[in-house]
Amino acid sequence: MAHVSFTRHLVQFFPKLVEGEVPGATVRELVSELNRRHPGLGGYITDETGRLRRHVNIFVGEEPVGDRVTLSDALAPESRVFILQALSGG
Amino acid sequence: MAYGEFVAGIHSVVIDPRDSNHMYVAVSCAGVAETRDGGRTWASCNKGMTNDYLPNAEVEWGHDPHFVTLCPGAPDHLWQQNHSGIFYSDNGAKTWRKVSRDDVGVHFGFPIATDDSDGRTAWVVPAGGDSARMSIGGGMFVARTRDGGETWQAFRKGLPQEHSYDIVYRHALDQRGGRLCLGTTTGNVYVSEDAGESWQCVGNNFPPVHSVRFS
Repeated sequence: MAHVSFTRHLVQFFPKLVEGEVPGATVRELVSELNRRHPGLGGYITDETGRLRRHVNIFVGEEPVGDRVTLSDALAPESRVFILQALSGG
Repeated sequence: MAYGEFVAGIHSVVIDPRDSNHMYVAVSCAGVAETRDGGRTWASCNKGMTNDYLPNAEVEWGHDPHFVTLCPGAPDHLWQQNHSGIFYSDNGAKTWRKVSRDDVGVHFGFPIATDDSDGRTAWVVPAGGDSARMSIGGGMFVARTRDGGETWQAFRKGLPQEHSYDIVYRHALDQRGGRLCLGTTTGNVYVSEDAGESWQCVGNNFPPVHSVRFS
């Protein structure tokens, strides 16, 4: 299970959100599981087509995900995943 | 809402008044670099910098300066308004220290101005944040420190305190001899004759102001 950390911006909307272990073989599966645990959270991370939103970044370790369209990046049990607000404009 | 440009760019070229071969440049999404040989070789100057949008907050590269400047009379004192706060160096950018105060609204913004001779003095025009690029709570203010960022004073006299959607671009604040001028993207220009403590409106109907400089 990957270990997931979140931007504090998401905690504003989901006060029960805490970092921790989340199952998923890919980033997409992980986001889907997060949305199951916190209904609505997925909509802040991806748009209605499943594409990563423009102002959101997901890192696996220190690398940003390569596939922002379908979030197919594979996760290992020891992966550290960071869901962060993207640096935007400026 | 517009979020500005999505490409990195050099916005600050800071030349040491003691030695023109010594200069700093600041690049959005990268950080500050320094040359001592007129640009032939460069080194990073981002020690002490932190960010809040990467897994590693203290990476060497990947910081987002919005504007960097130095004090002409004390050139080892550099000031940086950054995406992730305000940073100050009193040792020629060997190390930086975060000096912003998010709890009192002095944190996010674009421009920063220094004093002519006192390296510990600086002015900023704070905005709400990266997702609220306008005056905080609809009221514009200028914040000044005289102690290297230990404390900040907010000045509002003469600036709009209701329905202000103004934001000041990185090159649109300047200081010379205690006189300051700022211009906003909504076409408002203000001048202060008392080191930022009170302001007079010069005009409200300019086009978006990109740069203000005393010549």
